[in-house]
Amino acid sequence: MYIVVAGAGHVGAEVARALLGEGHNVAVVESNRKRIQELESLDALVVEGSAANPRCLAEAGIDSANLMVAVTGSDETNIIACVMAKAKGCKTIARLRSPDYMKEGAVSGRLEIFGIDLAISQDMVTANHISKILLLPSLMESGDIAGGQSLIVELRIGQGNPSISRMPDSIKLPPGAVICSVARNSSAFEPSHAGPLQRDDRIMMVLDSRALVRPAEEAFGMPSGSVSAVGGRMEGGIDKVVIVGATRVAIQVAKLLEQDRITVLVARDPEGCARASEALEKAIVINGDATDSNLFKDEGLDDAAVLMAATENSEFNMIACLLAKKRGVPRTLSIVDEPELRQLFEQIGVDIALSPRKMVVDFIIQHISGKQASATFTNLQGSGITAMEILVDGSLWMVGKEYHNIKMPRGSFIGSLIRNGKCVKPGMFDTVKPGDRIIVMVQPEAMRKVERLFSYRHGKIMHK
Amino acid sequence: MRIKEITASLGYLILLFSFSFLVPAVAGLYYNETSEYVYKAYLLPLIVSASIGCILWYNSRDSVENLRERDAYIVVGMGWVAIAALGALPYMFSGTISNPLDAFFESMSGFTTTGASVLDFSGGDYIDIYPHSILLWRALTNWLGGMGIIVLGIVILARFMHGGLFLFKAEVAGASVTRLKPKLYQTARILWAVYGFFTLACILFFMAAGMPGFDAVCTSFSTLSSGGFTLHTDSIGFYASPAVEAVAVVFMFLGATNFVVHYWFLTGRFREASKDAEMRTFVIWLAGMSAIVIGSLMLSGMDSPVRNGLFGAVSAATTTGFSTVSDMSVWPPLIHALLLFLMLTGATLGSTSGGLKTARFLVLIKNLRNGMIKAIHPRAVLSVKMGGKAIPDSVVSRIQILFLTFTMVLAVSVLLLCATGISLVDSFSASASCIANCGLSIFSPGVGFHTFSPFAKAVLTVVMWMGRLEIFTALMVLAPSTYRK
Repeated sequence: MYIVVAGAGHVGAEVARALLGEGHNVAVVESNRKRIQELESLDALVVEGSAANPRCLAEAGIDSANLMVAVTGSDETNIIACVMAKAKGCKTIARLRSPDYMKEGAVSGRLEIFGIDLAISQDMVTANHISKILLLPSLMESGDIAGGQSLIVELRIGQGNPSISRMPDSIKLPPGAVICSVARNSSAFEPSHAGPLQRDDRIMMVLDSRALVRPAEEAFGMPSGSVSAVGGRMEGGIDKVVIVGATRVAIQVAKLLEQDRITVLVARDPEGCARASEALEKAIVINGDATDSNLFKDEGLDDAAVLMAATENSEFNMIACLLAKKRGVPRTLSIVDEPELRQLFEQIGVDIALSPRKMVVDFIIQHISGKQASATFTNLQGSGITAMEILVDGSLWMVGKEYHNIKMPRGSFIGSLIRNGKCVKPGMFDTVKPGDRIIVMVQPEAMRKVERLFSYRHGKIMHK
Repeated sequence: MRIKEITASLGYLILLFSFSFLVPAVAGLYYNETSEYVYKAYLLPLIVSASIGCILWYNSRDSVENLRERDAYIVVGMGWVAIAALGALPYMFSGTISNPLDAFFESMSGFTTTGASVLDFSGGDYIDIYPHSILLWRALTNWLGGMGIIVLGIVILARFMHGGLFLFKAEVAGASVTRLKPKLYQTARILWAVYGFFTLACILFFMAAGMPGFDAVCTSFSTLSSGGFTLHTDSIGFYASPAVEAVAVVFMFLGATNFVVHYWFLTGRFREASKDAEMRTFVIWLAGMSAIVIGSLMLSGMDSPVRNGLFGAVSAATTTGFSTVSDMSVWPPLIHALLLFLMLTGATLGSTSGGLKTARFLVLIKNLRNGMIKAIHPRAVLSVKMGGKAIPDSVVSRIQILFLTFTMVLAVSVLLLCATGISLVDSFSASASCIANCGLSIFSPGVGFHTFSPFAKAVLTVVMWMGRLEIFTALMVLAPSTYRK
């Protein structure tokens, strides 16, 4: 596909990089010369100028393009770029900051009046994602696979977890749950090669159904949060959530949670608080500093089950999380603007660090590659490794071969296999059959090779 | 520096290059040369370079995806040396030029499209004393080097050359080629397609002008690439045909001007093509200089001044180095100086020509003017503009550095040649001709590249290599800091 990316900020540059990696032709339109210089290492056509300028778009080859991804910092520019691209027959994707363009509460959707095929609200993508994660005590990330029947989850071994120093293979899991990989620092291991479990290891598991989330957690001796399902509706467990900051994401998360949970929103600036209290019904909005120990005690924030820091200032978020942790909040989540800092945040002691930009990039890429059914990923943000789901059809070259005879590229391995809706570990003599869904764990550097291995010879890779 | 990544890319390049030996081999069989000769001259080099390529590639085949920018300079710089060395094998193995240094000089001169020759012509005309196949190989080295070996590598090996972007930047200095398509290899493919199309057209026109088929092919290779190798000791003058000279002038001009503009012309985008500021300047500059050369030839009473003057000026400005007169030394000194000046300025960016290129001179001159305005109005905010677009300061300063190093390399080369006893005039002429990859020899009577000492030839070989890579990449290869961890 020929894709024009408007805007080369963090999101634009990441989207362009990812699209190039998937083998698309990419043109980037950006007005900031500094950012253009940073694009020098990309094999893309770079045009200097505004994405709302018809001449720049023409220079970027909009006439022959198939898709426009408008991710500049300005909603207006994005809309104009999409309108012009639509007139040339492109499909269009736009990121919009203001939630007012969309239906109330929608994450993404079609905007007929502007000819935008997919409008994405960054705040809603983030808020939705966060509210899911927030409510699961040990669950880091979750993604659906096999068309939504199975799911892939990531758990983190916390301090004092009883399964520390046990071998991953020795943990008795409920039937229908398979450990795919163990991620340690920034590399992933096959469970049988990982050695004894250590603190901060991340376990990636494939589960047959949502009902297995809790039993799987119990098998690892995770704290009983009595979680029954993945998603917003849960009984018991967490009852108090503290949200720091009055950004759009923070307010949105509060909105999603306030009906079922005691939600407290703490923000320093009075205007933000006013906005928050206007938007929220049940949640309590407090004007104050979340790092202030008096406020913490007075408002009884220390008995919260989870604290999320979502101000615009990453450093403040980190400090708020660390202080909350020290004052007895068991779980903290911080928003980090720079995707590179996520890992560092988690090493310091923040339980989960999430980057909204990364989420939007993943959302866009999944949409593009999913539509095409050429490559599929469940990007689990935490460990940097990707679970790739491959649907085997009759024409794949490896059909009939034994699984253990398939030589996987370095940095990748087969994590699990879904056959007839059941997750299994491929055995010694299992052969590849049409209809199998192979879950391959891939580190970034091996991505290209794995794609070649499966897709070059008519393997059909399905999007989750 | 990471050895594995470098050797992997080099291996691919050399492997690809080894196939080019098949062309003269087939020609040799066609022209009834003995199979022993064909084996020795072409198949043996093919086997040697293919095995070197395979070994380099096989040892580090997993690493090719991770080429970094600084490694790319080494790949390109070393790649040109390696390919020139392997390209010298046919001369050596066939006995055409038995001295390895001379063979390397001839090969480097071919690939860098300099066209300076050390071929022995005491026995008569080249085409009478040498087999057809080796002359075709000589022309082919011109043609391959013209558009750039790395660019060709990117066209063919697009899927394997993940560092292609950096390699391209290292070979085509300052990434002077406008992107035509989003992917680099698509742009490179267009450049080579236009190049091939012009070559084909040139062959047909030469044949229509009365050249024999073999001559037409070889001469076209050297014309489009602005190389300058010919089949005759009298160069183009051998044909004594105004038609041949006219065809040569047109295609030298086409080869030495921006291929992006040619592509626009061929695809009917005349408005964009005619707006190119550099092209306009070059045409005016070339016309003006030609007029001076012709006028000066007329005043000094030379034969057919218009024909020889125009041909000489175009040949120098496009850095091709063809000539129509057997001895230029009888021309007045002013013309010698003008021709040297023309070759050093070169033609345009994005072409096969050598020299410093018109656009860079335009930038330097405009920057100089800005400097003077700034002296009068210290608070003035000025920018160097080309075709209505401002050139970033970083690019301007890069061009200044290039100009400075270009001049320094030229000066050092003159110094070293003088040290071997060559006169100052001849030293300067030879150095300028080699650094601009022109090959036009304006020497005192009895002096030629073949009369130079081995040391002088070695110096000129390095200078040609540096000139073709526009100094910077070559300096990166030579600088010790590149190899430090």
